Amino acid sequence: MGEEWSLVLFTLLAQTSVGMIVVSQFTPEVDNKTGQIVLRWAVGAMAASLLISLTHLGDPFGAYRTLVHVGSSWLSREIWCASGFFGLSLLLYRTVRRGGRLPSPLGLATAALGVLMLLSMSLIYVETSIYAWGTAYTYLTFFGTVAALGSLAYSAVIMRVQADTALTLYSRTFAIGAVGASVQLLSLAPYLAALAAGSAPMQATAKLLYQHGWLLAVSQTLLIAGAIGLTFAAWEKYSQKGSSAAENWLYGGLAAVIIGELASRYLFYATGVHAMMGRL
Amino acid sequence: MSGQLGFYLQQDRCIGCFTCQIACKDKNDLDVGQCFRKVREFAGGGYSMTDKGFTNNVYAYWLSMSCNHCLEPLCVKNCPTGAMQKRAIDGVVFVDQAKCVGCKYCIMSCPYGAPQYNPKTGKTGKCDMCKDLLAKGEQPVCVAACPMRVLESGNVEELKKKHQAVNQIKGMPEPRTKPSFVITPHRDAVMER
Repeated sequence: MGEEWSLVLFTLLAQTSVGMIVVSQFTPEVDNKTGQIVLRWAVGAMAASLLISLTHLGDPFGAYRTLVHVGSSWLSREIWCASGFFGLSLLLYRTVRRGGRLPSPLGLATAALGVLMLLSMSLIYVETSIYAWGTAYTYLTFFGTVAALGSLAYSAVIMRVQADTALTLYSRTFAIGAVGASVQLLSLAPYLAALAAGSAPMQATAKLLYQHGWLLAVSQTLLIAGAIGLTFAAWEKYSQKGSSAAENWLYGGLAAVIIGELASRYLFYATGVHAMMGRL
Repeated sequence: MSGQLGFYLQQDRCIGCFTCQIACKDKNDLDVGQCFRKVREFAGGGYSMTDKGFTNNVYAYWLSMSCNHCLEPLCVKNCPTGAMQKRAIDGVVFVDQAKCVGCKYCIMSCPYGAPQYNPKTGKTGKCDMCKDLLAKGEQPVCVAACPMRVLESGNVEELKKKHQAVNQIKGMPEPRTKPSFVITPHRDAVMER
């Protein structure tokens, strides 16, 4: 499992970056200066994500060769989409720096490419011989992470930089975060049921999740506490006393979601049992 | 054109001597932890008391398996660099080491655990059916080394006809990728229909 930490960080950072840009397209209240700072964080997260992904390769300097089999490989398609998303994010940043608005046709195109990248990222895992990854849970947990991490990271930047933002912005972004965390929690029940009723490798995944039940419980508790409990407290404080009173609640919520997502993604990789069931 | 090549295993006569695995490791100069052909043990059952005394359903069998050079190889489809290839002439699946970047996606893709990551080279390798020996008209080294003569290689359709064999036994994944591997199963390894 140790070597999969690069994939844990790569997927989480990329999903945060996509989430921030997608959410930004539905928040016209954000001014130009704040938009630039949001994009710096989003572009920085994606750059870190791409660099970390190279550490997973045996030959990182040959990474460009992964672009050639786009006709059939979802990994190749993901890398095309990730490169395109990163390029468009940089272009969007340049446009916003020159006075353009963050919610824009270019912003929407960047967000759409980010969503395509996520779809490719999900399909990479769906099309393997690790049957537990072939369920709808893979899509739900990846897209749920985009909503939870992306919206809270975005909100934290806005609260830090643009103190007088309308409460309605946080009503929307916090609701997206709550939906993202809830989707991850609610999808666990059908996922576990599908594993228990599935083939022997899927049942082995269910057994591993049962053995690591405490970590699963911690991850989901942190996700819900962070994306619903602490952010609702932040929303309430913001509505009463403004950003200075709400900041720490929101940062606490974001920290809880980050730790929860790290634990959840670790479990995703650590409990993936291959079709040959340990007889590799 | 020799058609799709594959392996045949007369599993009910395999004694689990590991000679095929060792011959393969030796020819391919593989380090500890890497096996292009692997002999796996399957064992189970137990004893139970009946009114006539103890009875048992203990079983054990061996499965010698390498890459199955599938007709629809998921590793070839998923490889992002095109390093994993299937030869048109005989269907042998092999890795072009110059193109491989060691992303390990083929390892996740293959249902049989055939591709093996080499941390020294940072690339993945696997059974190529000893294509260098095939080119000289010889047998793959695992087949030539087997002292029980339970391994065969050749045109997979001919092997199927000759041995009336199956492509899945207990403990193997579903043959979704259409493996070019036929087996005469051990009596305890026969799939229940």
